[in-house]
Amino acid sequence: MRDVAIIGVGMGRRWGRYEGSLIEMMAEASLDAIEDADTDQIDALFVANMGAGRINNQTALGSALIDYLNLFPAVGASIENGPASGGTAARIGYMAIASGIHDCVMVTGGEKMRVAPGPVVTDFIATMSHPQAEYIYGITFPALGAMLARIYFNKYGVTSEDLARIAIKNHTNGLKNPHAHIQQKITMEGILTSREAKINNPIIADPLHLYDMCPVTDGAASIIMCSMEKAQEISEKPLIRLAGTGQGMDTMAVHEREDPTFLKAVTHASDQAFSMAELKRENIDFAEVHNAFEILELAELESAGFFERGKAHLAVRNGETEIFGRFPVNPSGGLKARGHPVGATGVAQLCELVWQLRGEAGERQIPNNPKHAYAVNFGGFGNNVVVTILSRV
Amino acid sequence: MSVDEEMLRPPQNKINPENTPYPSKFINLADGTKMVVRQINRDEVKQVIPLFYDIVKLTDFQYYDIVGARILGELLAYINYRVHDEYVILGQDGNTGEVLGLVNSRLTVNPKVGISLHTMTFKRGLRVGAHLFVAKMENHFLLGNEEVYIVAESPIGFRRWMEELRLEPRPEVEHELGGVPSYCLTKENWEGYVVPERLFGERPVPEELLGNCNSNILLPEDVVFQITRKTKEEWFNA
Amino acid sequence: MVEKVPIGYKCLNCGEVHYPKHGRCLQCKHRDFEEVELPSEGSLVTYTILKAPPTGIDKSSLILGIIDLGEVRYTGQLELEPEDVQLGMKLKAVWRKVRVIDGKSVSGFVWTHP
Repeated sequence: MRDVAIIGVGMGRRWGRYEGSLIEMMAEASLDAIEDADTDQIDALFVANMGAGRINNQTALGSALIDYLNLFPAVGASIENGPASGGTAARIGYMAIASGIHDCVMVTGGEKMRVAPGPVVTDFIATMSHPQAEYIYGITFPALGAMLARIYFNKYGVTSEDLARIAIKNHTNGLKNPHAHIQQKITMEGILTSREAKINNPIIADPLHLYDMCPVTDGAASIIMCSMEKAQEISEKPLIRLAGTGQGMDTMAVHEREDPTFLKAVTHASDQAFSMAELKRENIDFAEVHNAFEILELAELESAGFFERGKAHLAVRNGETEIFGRFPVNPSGGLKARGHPVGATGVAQLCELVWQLRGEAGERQIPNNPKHAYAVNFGGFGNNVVVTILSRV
Repeated sequence: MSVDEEMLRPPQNKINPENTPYPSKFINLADGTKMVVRQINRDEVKQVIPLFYDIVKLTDFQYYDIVGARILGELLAYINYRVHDEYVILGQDGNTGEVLGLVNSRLTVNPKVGISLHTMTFKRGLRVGAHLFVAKMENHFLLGNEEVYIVAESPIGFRRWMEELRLEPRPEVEHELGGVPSYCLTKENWEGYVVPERLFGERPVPEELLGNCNSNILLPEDVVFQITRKTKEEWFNA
Repeated sequence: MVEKVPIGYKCLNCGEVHYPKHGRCLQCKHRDFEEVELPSEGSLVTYTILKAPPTGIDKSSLILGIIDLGEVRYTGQLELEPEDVQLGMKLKAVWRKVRVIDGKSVSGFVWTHP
């Protein structure tokens, strides 16, 4: 297999509400990646998206984006894998290049979610749950996050204050990220300890509050990958190698998992990616994790093997996961602050990894020239997870 | 015949003849802002009015134009003494005096029934409107109203007031804002649900915060951007 | 009328009981199952009080939980007062309408005091 490099990344304008069409939004991100890579010689495009057929009345987005941007003769397809669509599309792009089928692949993820009212979006996300065993009962993803949090609280002594600390950290990072949807300072007093926090930060799915959850966001992100050989020829930026990729699965119904706090798919995907990259957990300088709910930031870090089970919140208390901490997590602000347009998230995580590894992350730059970075893109409620490790060559 | 301007003014306030202002308080917002909530007088209202010259032009954006136009009219009526027993409450950043939101109301359809006029937030995402709306309701009940008629002009308003505050429909009452069917906040609901669950704020306001707000009604630099996320220039050139 | 009780799917090869149904056994990949009646009482593993129920649920607040029945667990709605919910509490299944989906009323298990 050939080595693969990421030579271009882009996210278009600041995420939030996008007034144009889904294709226009994805085109902006794609053109940013083309500009960053300084090439539009793309053989294939994989578009990551979860719900355009349902919420934007459009399908076959790969064809549509190639047509709109005149990427011909590039070929393409849409990849749907729930919220892990982005990571999955990047993984498929990697396979296409590593195998020698294509030389240069663009992966663009996008989701335009703010067209629909909140309950409709929540229900659309909930269609990933088990149709007979979960969905019919009104299970929503916030509800699954809350049930996971309750076990964590009970078993490991995690508190609402710990989750608020993670949210505050992610909002602080988001303030330094020009792409982030949410650029707002929050304080412990304002969201948790004052009396009025009850209104500022209401409980949505007990014990989770509004600020424990990601917002509903429109956004797109794009990366361009090519063989390392070609990258060495054409790229003038620091070379970023896709060093490891892994994917793991678990049962669809959460209640079928032996220990619901243990995200087996994250462990499996991480083990594969680490073994492929020939790296250890301690080699990783920072991580982007899929914190659709702040409790997942803890659970994923533990299941990925960066912290012992039930201990990640202690690291958060010590400030270890802040940008200047021992092991920065979600320097972009993560899903909490950057936003979570489901199909785009996995691609946006890789954009952040690349910017940080190149030293181009501006105010949120992690110090000391990070070399190895990890991203976990969490699909379903943890039944389909993609992990990517990038390394600066 | 010469008309004395005074003739055109409304009669004395029925339930608040001394014009006792709403007791100021402050509220902690999610971002750490101490929002001072206080009633403002006619001179101060004049300072806020220019904000609405831009807001009335925000067409097709969550009804900001109609709500803005109506508030502008109500504030002009207030400073020119053409409306009966109106009051205006402002939410301001206690450190800078920046105006975060505004609510207004009228105390008496009759002495027992108040009428809610409008709520507008100039800095969004911090529940400013939710806190200010409840503050203006507090003033109604402090001054002896037994119920308040309320309507919404935007779906967001409907969710905030009718649903979140569990208001009673009163379809037989035509609200003075356009005669649409009214909803009602009763004293029972106020005392039983809103006060314990949704009324917040501390008194007295520290002198320093109050001083900052009294001396400086700071209007947002670009209220259009704060509301729409597009700068004034982008919005009006689009 | 016979009370409806929770059902599991027992693998005819290895005996593993599943809920929900799978096409092949999670343990041994065998394809044949028999439906077995499960105890209608179990204990509460975790729960949430959802203040933002999805479309098709005509309530402003909904309690959801996972119930351990011994061999398998069930996810379902809880018919309890919020202040009565306790981790580990014993609950009993009753068959009720749980949601309207695409205009049709759907039934399932609701868990309440035994």
